[in-house]
Amino acid sequence: MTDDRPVVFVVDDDPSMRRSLDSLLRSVSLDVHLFASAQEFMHAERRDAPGCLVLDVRLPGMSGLTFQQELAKAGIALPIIFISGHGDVPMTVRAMKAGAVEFLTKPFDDQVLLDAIDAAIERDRARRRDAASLADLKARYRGLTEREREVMQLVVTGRANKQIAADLNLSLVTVKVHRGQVMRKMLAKSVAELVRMADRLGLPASVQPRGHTKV
Amino acid sequence: MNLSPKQRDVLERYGLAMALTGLALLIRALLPVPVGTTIYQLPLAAVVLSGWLGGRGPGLLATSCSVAVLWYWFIPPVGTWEIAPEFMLALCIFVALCLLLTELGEARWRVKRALEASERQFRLMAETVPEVLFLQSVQPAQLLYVSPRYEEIWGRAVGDLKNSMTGWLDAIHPDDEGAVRSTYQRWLSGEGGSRIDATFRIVRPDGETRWIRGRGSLIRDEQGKPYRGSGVAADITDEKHTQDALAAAQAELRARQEMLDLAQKAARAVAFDWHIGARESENSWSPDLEAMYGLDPGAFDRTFEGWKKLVHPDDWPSVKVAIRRAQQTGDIAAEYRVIYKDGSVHWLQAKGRMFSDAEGRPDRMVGFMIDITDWKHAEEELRATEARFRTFVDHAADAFYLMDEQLRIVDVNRQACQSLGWNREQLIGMHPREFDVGLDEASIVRLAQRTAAGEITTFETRHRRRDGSEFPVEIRTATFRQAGKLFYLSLGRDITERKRAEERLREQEGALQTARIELARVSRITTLGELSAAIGHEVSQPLGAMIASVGACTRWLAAEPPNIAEARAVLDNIAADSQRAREIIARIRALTKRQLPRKELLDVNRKVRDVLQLADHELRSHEILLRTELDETLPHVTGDRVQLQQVLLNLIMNAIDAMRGIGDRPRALTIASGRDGADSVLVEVRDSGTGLDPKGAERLFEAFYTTKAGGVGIGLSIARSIVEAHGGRLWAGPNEPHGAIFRFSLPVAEDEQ
Repeated sequence: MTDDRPVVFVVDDDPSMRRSLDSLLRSVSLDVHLFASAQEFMHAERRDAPGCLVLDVRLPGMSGLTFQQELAKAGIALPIIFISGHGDVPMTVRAMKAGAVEFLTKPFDDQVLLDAIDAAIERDRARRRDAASLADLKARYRGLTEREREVMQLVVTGRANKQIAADLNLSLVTVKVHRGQVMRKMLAKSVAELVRMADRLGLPASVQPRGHTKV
Repeated sequence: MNLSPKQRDVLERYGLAMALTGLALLIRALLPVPVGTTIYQLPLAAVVLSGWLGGRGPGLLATSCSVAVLWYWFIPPVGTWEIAPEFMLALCIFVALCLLLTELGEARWRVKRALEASERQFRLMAETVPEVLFLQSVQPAQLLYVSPRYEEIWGRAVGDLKNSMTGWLDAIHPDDEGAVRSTYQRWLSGEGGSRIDATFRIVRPDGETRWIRGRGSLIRDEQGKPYRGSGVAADITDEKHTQDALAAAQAELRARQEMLDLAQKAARAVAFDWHIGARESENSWSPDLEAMYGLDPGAFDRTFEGWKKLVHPDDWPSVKVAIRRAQQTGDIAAEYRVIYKDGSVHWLQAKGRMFSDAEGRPDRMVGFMIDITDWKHAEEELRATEARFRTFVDHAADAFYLMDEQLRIVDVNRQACQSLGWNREQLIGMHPREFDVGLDEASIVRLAQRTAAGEITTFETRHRRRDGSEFPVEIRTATFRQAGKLFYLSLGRDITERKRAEERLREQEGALQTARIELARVSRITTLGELSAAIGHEVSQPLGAMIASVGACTRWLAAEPPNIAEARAVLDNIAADSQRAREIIARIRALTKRQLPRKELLDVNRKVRDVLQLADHELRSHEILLRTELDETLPHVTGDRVQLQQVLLNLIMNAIDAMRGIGDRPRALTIASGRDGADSVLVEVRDSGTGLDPKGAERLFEAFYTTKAGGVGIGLSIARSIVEAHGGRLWAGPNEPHGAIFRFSLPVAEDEQ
């Protein structure tokens, strides 16, 4: 069965803090995973579910901020809530720029932390949904033929059918057929939707027509 | 009636004769004895007396009167000039007897007269000769005669000698007395010959000493024994003085002669006495003089022309001038060169007098010639040395002032002239007070005295140039003696640049000082900040855990059903965390305890001075009037030097801050120290600032309480905790009429109580 219960990873070197957070988060029915260090977290097997990371800025071996960069490099997109003994402004700014959700200074209010965690999980959920639809889109795009991708590319850059026919040295009818196939395969209801899809797929916004001109 | 002595003498003698005769005849006439041969006895006695006393004349007068009266009145027939023949013989015998006796009287009288005259002459002589004559008997030794001159020479009365033979000896000078006495005694004893001759001194009652020469000889009796002594004593004081003076004059003359010889030898001077043109004058050019001109004896022709050839041609013009001057004034003074036969050049100096003949032509020259070649060389050497020295001194960077004992400038170098703007001639004779504006007369004198006592004095003052501008100088002065005279040598260095540099340095130091104080303040704050951050971090850890735990606990208990097991576990966590927090606080306390003051003996007054020095720039830049009332008899306290300094600095800086905005009254800061009872020392910092707010006074020493815009509010709390850690107290009160007083007391060090 797939467990959709949100998960919270706590990385803090202070055991009593870990214990307290564990109890607090469990009391609101969150799935809590405790780690004493960044390395421990990286090597652990993590359940794939919407969640967030509660990270102490000062960690043994690697600072919380460096760890944040490591995670980004590893493609782990968990929202991070920093907690710190003493937050100073530059550190907070750096953390937020790097994508932290919240920066809490100890001793923080328990409700503030819980709210932050909720917000982070919600954000993760959205991210995860987003990521899932992109994967779907990519699969559809992979289902297109070479010619269809060329046509789609030209359509999303705003070329008319005739122009496409001229560009690809095809007949107008052939272009129309390819275009219909693209719209169907990509489940696009309109050209505007197709353009958004191309954008999400990261296709180039414009192409040089001559590059595809057959001599 | 004025009678000459002689007339009186005659009158007396003849009168006496008449009276005696008359008396004798009257008595005979009145006698009841019949007239007979007895009538002759009384008149004869009268005649004899008259002749004895008066000589022949009165004798004859008495005789004639007696004969006449006897003849007329006594010889019968009485009352007539007739005479009975029987009485004739008797009368004749009477007359003859009278004549005989008169003659006898005359003879005695003559002897007496001669004796008297002789004695008179002796006295006259004895009293007029300048010497004292004396005559004495030997046995017993007694003065028989001393001439009155004695009184004059000895200054004593002759009468005093009557009783004491040796009285005159008492006047003899103590140094001579012994010798004179023994010589005198030997003379009187007759053993040492008959003559005595002694020279000695006497001391007159008026204190004057006189030289006496006494000479005498003994008169011996038939047995050859000394019988009388006589002699003269002469006052030879004047001769003695004359003799002494003569001897001295002779000695002086001898000494002078010797000195002259010596001088002549030493100076290699040769006397000359040149009768110009007198070829035959043998003594005018001695061989010595010729040698001086480098000539062989007798080689000089003794003519003026010949002499002219000897003089170096280059010097002839100046010699001619000297001769002309000598003709006018009579004084010869010339220096010139002569060339010896061997080619060597010698400098000669002539000094003397020139005599001219009736026509005014030089005729005779008398004086000295000196070979001054060596002097000339030495002089040139000296001049060169002096020139070198002057160049050296003139090019020195310092100004040189040479002053005499009265501090009058004797010489200066070029630098001195340049720095003061006066030339050398103007400066010579000046007194330092004429250009030294930094010192008053008394200071100059005091410095001069110290320098004269051998010290090399160095001092800074200001000199005024001729144009009135002033500049700072550093003077170094020492003394030296030359030819018995004291000189001051002062070296003056213009220290304008140095002063400027010093001023700059002082300014920089002031800025540095401010920066240092600022830094101390900042670092104190920073340290405190870091400390509190560290404490915060340490404590926030368990605190954060506890808050989270409490939140968890609440939720476990609020669940349906409440999860008691979880809640209990959480409470265990809270207990553990609170225990941890307590441990942290205990650790911090232990940490601060370890920083307790270092104990050392401290002089509070010295600390006050140290701190005032630190705050000097602040005080000056805020125009604060500083006064210290320090009790110099304070005992030491025990404590941490740096911490006490911090307390003082804090109070002083607070006072400065409190007076920052004060403009209507002096900004006065007073630091006082004194005793607070027997075992405490009290320090007061009084300001005239804004004073204390009565409401805030109690909170003054609380941490993080401040009335200052940029203040942190921990200074006083730290100060109080430092003072209390030292066992003292820190408190505040209002100052009269304005401002505040901060006082702290510290216990006196134990071994000083």
